Amino acid sequence: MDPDGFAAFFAETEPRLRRALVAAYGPERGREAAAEGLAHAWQHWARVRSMANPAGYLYRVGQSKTRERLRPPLFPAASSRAEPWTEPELPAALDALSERERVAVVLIEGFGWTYREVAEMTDVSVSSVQSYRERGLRKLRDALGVTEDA
Amino acid sequence: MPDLGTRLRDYIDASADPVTLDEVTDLRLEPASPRRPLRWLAVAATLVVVAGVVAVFLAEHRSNPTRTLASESWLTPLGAEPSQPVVPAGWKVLDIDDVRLAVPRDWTVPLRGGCGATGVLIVPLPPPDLCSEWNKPRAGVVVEHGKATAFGPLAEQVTATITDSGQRRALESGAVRSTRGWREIRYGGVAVRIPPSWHHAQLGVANLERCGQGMFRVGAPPRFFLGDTRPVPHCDAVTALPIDAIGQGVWMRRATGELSQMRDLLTQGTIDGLRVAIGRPPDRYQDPSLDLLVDGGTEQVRISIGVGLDASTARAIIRSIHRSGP
Repeated sequence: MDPDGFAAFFAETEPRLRRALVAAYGPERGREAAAEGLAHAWQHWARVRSMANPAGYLYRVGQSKTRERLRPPLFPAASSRAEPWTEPELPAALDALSERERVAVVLIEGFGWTYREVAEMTDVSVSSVQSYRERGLRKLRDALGVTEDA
Repeated sequence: MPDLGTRLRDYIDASADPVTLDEVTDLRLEPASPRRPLRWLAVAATLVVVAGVVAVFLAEHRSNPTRTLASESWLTPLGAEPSQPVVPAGWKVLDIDDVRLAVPRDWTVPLRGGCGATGVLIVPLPPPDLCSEWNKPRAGVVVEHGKATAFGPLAEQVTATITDSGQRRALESGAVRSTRGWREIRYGGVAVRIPPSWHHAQLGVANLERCGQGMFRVGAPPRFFLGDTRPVPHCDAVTALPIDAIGQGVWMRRATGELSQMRDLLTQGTIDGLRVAIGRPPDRYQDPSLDLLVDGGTEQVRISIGVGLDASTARAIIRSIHRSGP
């Protein structure tokens, strides 16, 4: 199934979109938002394929599709997800960051994105991404008791 | 301990399964049609209608403006969805309590031990050890306490198909199908959403075609039933239950009794402000469905969900439960 390159686009974009939206909205809402964004791309493929920044566009589609739910935290405690290898403090520490801080820290520190890549995905300036990353990283290290990445 | 970046990457990637291409394209087989000249007119008309509906809704609910949204953490207690094994051609896939397995199509559940039979499914129903030592079943599988043990010449092939049952998987974390474009069905003040291709079947006409048949079976398009009465045809005494391969479907009807008294309770919690208990039905071998009791306040609604092969649909249906209008 590859009408005009959609499958190839999907394979390249899905991990990036999912990680960005999961960082923003947590595992459940983030994944759902990514699925909605990619479904939108499928439905409007002729238009999406011609865009200069389709992943950034789908990120915003996912943002608009995900419903606000009154059920914090976005990142459930590890014990409720039966993931014994997850350090218990990490979900709560992520939850305490702002959405933009979380996206910047997770994508840059966790997945090695550049400031520009994060800026293009989230539609904010490079300098803002830099400041979100620094602020978020400081908060995360404080919450986890980490002084440096080692 | 790994560095912070590795910990973040591992956590994010493990916490959400990848979105699959099928999931995105499955219910959206046709890309959107080209723009039409009257599209904006239609959008404007829709907005006017929506504004009217919102105004009416607000007027009716002004005294109680808050709405409790779903807390679904109780539905996802376990880990990732397992990959499904390959099923040999001509076999049927069955869900027996916590176990899913495949067996040749003619295997049945013997009610008197299946002495001498070549294909049996021994579940807790039949009394054990009814057969003489020389006349025990020659091939089959024993399913008990969440374990399946195959014996006889096909034991290895049967064992290779064993995994978690659909009911169990539907209550675990995993893919949830998008309900966009699904239809809403209502009964007794409760509504759920189901795939648009499922069609309404009349109880009493299309339900049972032979004795011992389950509500939801493969070989026919998934159906939904609305109503209180399941017709029970006159059946002669049988020595074995034919168990059908698992199918998909939904049956909504009124229920009596307390949620806390539900037999074979698997889990319970709240969805959209409605108390929901999920368990297995009394005739769970022939109807391997999830049995939900939904407390709608003034009355209770029982919802049976045939999970079928793909648990992501049942997950979406469960999460779509909400209170409907009068």
